[in-house]
Amino acid sequence: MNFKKQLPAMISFLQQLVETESPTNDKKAVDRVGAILAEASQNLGAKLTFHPQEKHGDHIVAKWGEGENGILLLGHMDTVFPVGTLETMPFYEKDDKVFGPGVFDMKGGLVITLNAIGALREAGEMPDCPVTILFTSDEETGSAVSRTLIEEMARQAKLVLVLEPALHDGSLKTWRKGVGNFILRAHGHASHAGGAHAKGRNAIEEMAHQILKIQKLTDYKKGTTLSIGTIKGGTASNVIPDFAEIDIDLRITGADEYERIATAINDLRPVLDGTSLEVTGELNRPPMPFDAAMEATFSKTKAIAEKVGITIKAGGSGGGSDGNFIAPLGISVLDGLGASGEGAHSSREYIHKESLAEKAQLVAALIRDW
Amino acid sequence: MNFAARKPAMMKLLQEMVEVGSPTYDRDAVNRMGAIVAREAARLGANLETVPMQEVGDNIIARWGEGDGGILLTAHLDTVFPLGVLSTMPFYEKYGKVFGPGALDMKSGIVIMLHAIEALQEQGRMPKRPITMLFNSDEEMGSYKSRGLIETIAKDHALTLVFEPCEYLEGALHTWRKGTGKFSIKAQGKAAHSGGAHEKGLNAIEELSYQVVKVQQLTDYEKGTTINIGSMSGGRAINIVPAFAEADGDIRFKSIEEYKRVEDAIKKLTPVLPDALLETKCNLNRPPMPFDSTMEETFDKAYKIASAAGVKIKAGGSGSASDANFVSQLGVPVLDGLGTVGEGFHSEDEYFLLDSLFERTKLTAALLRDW
Repeated sequence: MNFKKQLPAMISFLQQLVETESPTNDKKAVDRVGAILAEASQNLGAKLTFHPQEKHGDHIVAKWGEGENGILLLGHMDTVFPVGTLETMPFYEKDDKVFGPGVFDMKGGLVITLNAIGALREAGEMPDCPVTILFTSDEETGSAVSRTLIEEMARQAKLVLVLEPALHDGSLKTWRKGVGNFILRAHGHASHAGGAHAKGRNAIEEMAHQILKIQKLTDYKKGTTLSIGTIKGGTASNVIPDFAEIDIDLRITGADEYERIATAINDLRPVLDGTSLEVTGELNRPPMPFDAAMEATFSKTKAIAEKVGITIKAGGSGGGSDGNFIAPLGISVLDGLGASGEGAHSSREYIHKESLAEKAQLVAALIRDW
Repeated sequence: MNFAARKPAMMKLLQEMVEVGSPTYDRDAVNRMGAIVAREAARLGANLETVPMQEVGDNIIARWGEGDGGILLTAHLDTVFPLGVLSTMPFYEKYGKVFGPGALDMKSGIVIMLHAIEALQEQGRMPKRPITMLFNSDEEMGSYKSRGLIETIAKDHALTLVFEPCEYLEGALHTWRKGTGKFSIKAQGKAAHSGGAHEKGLNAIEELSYQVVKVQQLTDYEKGTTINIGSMSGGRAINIVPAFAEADGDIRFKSIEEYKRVEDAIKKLTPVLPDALLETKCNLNRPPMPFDSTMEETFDKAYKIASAAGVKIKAGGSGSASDANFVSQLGVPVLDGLGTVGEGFHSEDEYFLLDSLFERTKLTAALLRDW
């Protein structure tokens, strides 16, 4: 299987996917990408099942072979970029890089998996076990409508390969932090700043006190970080503000850290007389630890990779992916099988061309030899 | 003079003015309001002068008579209410209260001014002193463009009467007012992915929070100095450490020394987080109007004239500023709060007491006639 020869075709297909923009909240746009992937999968002999969604793109399952205990490949069709981004951020190649919205996160990965399967079929080297790709539509907003399906399908597999991007140097992701989020609201009492200042209770001042407390909860040693991402509050400068709201991003390495932080935040008490606080929050993705199971998976992967002349490295990420949902189920999972590059979610997003061929070769070997 | 009998005409004029919305930022709307006022003043024989403005509505001057020692009456044409608010906040009268956007603040004051003149003319009792009316177009946004004109004209008059409404239901005139200022604080940090690069980020919202807590401590109720951070915003998304945050606030004070203390403290704010940057702005809008000896004399004289006309007036103060603040700085006699009595300023519950419309017209006529 010569993947280097496939590179022009892969880049061409990648261009088609990237130029079909697919922000998570635009169902029609994501379905357009879905249609391209469905057709490509079907042309490779897959059996298709659709899981229609109301407000998101439909999830698509492409399966080769029958039964359970096979290999599941996981990728998302949605990106963070709104339709129209191409106007200021076009798809283009330069030297060894390919640029464009979602090229890295993660349309490169989608091309890799289809190419790997195509090559295996051509060479007659598809495994005996079933091979399934699950294309989901809402990863970038937290996988609220795909999580259940992901977990269900993962439970039926012996190995899950997540096609999210690799690290810059090509390392796979063998651990990921858990991701949580909170919203904190402060309520005060409105009043005219001139005529009745003393009657007011400033919700922004109250929130400022709480922000300073929350930011102190970060513990780099434990791998726990909190970051207040946005704040809004108040109206006019001459009215004492009765409302302020912040959102808080939480990342944890240890699963028990969520409990500790959630308790700390729920235990926050107002500093100013006459104000009140309201908290909502959730652990969106549990941590994916580099535990014994992951170590075993990685060792086996390394062995298979070496046999086809590929050296792989382990790595980790502060960002979450759908891989986080699978780790707690006790299923072997490996993440970062996608293209390597940089700049996820930014205007600088790109991949290294060669990594498309390299990763397709690795994915094909894993599917064949697991 | 029976002022209550003027009700139909007063209410008709007031309704017309209220229903022509005139938000400060809409100069065409403010000019529509100005046209009504100009029309009425012209009908009453005034000499009209329009002072054209670029970004706000035109200012209007109406003059009766010539010479020195005149009395200046001032009012603003603009309100805080946007066009279209009439559908949820109509003009109406109920149980002795009159509602509508800008009725209290301060279109009823304009009706008082015009009807006081009309009543005096009907009685043949217009004063010998010249009378000037100045209508400005940007009071609700600080009178930045009209301040100069107000001061220039007030200097040439023996007395300035400002027809802003009373602040409280007890109906006291405004014989002192706080000064006002505005400030903003901007914090700059460093953006980074909250998951993958948390330690590389510098949280601008955290930095600004330190400053917010500091600034809010500057309030000193004993001195009558208050600071209010009224709005705050920052950050782009939950998973990006915010590079930028800003807050805006309001300062009220009874003396320039107090303003300077607060301005100094704000300008001297330094970042708490290493490498964070701060940008502060602080501006005085209206100076305080103190109850000084000039004000005491002016109020005493007004009190005597009012009593003789059968009207009781009270002295009082306000935490809000008006154009009277500018006039008092010049050392020119000024009285404020000659408008109606009501509640709910700037809100959808704004109203004034109908009786005060007639009583204040009676008071104004007496002051103009007997000063």
